[in-house]
Amino acid sequence: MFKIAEKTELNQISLTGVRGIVLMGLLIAQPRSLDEIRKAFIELNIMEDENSDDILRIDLNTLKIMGCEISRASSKTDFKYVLHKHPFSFKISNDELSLLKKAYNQAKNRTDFLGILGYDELFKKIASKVFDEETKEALLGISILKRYDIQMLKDLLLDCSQGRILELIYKKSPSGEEKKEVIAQKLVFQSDKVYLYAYDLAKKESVTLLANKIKSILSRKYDKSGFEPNVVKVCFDLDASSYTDLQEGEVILSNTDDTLFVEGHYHNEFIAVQRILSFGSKCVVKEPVEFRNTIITKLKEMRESYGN
Amino acid sequence: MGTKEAVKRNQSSMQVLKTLNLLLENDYTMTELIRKLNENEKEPLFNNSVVSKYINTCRFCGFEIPKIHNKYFVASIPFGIELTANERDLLDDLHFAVKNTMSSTSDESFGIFLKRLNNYSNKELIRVEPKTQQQAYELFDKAVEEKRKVLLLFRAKAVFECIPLRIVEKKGKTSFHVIHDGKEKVIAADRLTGLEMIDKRFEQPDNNDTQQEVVFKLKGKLASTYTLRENEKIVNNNSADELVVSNVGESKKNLFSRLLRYDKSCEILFPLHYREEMKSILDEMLLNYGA
Repeated sequence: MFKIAEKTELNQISLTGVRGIVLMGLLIAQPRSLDEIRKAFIELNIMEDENSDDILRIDLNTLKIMGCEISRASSKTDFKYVLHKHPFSFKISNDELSLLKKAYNQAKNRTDFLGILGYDELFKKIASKVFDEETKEALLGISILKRYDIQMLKDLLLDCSQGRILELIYKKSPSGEEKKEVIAQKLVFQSDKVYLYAYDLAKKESVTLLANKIKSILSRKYDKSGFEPNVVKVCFDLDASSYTDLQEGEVILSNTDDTLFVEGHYHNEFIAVQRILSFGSKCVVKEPVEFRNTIITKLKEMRESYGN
Repeated sequence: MGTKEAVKRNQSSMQVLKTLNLLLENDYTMTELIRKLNENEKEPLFNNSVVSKYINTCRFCGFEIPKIHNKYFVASIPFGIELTANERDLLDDLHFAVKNTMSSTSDESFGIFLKRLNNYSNKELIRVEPKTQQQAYELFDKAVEEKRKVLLLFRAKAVFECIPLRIVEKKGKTSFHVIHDGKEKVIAADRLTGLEMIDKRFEQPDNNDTQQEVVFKLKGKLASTYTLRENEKIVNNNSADELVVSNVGESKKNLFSRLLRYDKSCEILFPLHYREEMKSILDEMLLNYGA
C-alpha cells in the first residue's frame, strides 16, 4: 500500500505525518502488534532500528486524539492493536441506508441476474469500508442475494455459459430432496428469485429450478453430445416503440416503420406465454398457429374476469 | 527535551491528518485550507509552506491530489473504494430510481450520499498539461465508450458539464468535440486545465414511476405461491386460493406488463381507471387476433 521513503524525499514532507497515515493504513488493513508495526515502519524507511517503541506508542496516541478508536493490545487480541473506528472511514446514516434500500427495490425490477449480482458486490465493497458493524450488516442486508450462496451462483453462471451437465441435489418439499441430472442453460432473475433454466435429462424436458433450492452440486461434466436446447420458437409482430424491451433470445427478422417482425426463443411454453402477454397489445403472435390459439384462449379467459 | 520533541512530532502528525480530513470533505484552494485549518487554533499554526508540506506528505503516502483551478482535489485514496464502470452504472441507476420515484428531498439526500461516496472513491480526474495530455485523451475516449458525462475545467475558471462525442483536430489543435447545454462545441485541449469523467451517464433508461396505489387479486396456485415485493402488502387473504395485494410505486408500464404475465390468475381491482385500462388492453389484444 505504501512506498519506501528515500532519505532525500523526507526533507520535503512531514515524517511524523507519514507515520500517522501509514499507521492508520496498516491498522485499517488488519490488527497489528507493536513488533509488526515497527517492522513495517523500518521497511518503509520511516523509523530507525535504534528508535524506541515509545515513538510507536506516541503515534498510536496521536491517532486516538484524532478520533480513532484503537483497542489495547492484550492477550484477548493476541497482543495486537485493533482499529474499531476512524475518522476517515466511510459513514452511512440510517436515513441514507433506508433511501438506498428503497432505491434498490425500484432499480432491481429493471435489471437482470448479472445486475443483481453487481449490486450484491457493490454493497459488499462499500460495506468493506464501513467500520460500524451494525451499519455494515444493514448494508449487506439490502441485497436480495443475501441468503444465496454467491459462489454457487457464480459457478452456475459458468456452468450455463459452457452448457455443463450437472448432477445436483434439489430440495423438493419441506423435508424431501431429489437427485437430478440437468444441462445448465441460463440463470434468470425474476420476481425477486433466481432461477436456473435447465434441461432435465431424465424427464427429457425443459425445467425451471429455484437456485436457492439447489442444495449441492455433486458433479459437473461437459456435454459432449452436442445437445441442442429444446426451445419454444414464436414469431410475432411487435410495435416498433417496444424495440428497447427486446431481450436475449429475441431477434428482429424484418421491420417496417412502425412494426418489427420478431423471432423469440423461449425456455418452455409457459415462459413463452408469459413473455408474449407481458407485451400487452403491442404484440401479435403469427406463428406457430397452435401457440397463437393458446394466447387467444388465455386472453378470452383473462377478459372474462373483468365482465362487460 | 525528549518529551518536548515527542509532542512536537505528534502535533505535526495531527496537523497532517487534519489537512487530509479537510481535503476529503471538499475541494479547497490554499487560502481556504489555511483559513479552515486555523479556525480552531488559538494562534495561526498553518501557513502556505506548512500546508504545502502536509499536502505533499499525503501525496507521498499515495493520495493523488492534483491542483486544478487553484483547488486541491483528492483524486484517489490508498484505502478508498475502487469502483468499476459497471458499479458506477449501478449507482447511477439507483440515483435515477430515487429521482423518479421519490421526493425532491430524497433526491437531494441521495445526491449528498453519492457525492460523499465519490469523495471516498478513486476518481477519473486528470490535470490537462503537456505531460499528461495523452492520459487526458484516453480518459475522454473512455468517457465516450462508457457513455459518461465529463467536466471540462477551463483555464479561464469556467466548468462545463458535457456529453463527450469525439476527439477532433481543428485549426491544427487537438480538441474535444462535446455537447454542452444542448449545443455542439469543439474545445481546444490547450484551453483546459482539468478533465473529469463523472458518475452521470448521458443515456438514461425510460421511467414513468408513480406513487399510485394499485390493488389486485391473485387466484389459484399463484395466490399461495406469490412472493410479496417490498412495495406491496396483503389487503385480504381470507381464502387459500385468493390473495388481494396492494402495490405502491411500481411503474405503470412494469406493473401492467407483470400482471399480464399472470394471465387469468390476476385481476386488477383498484383504481377503477387502471381496471378499465387493463380491460381495454385485453380488448385491444383480442382485436389484434380478430377474436
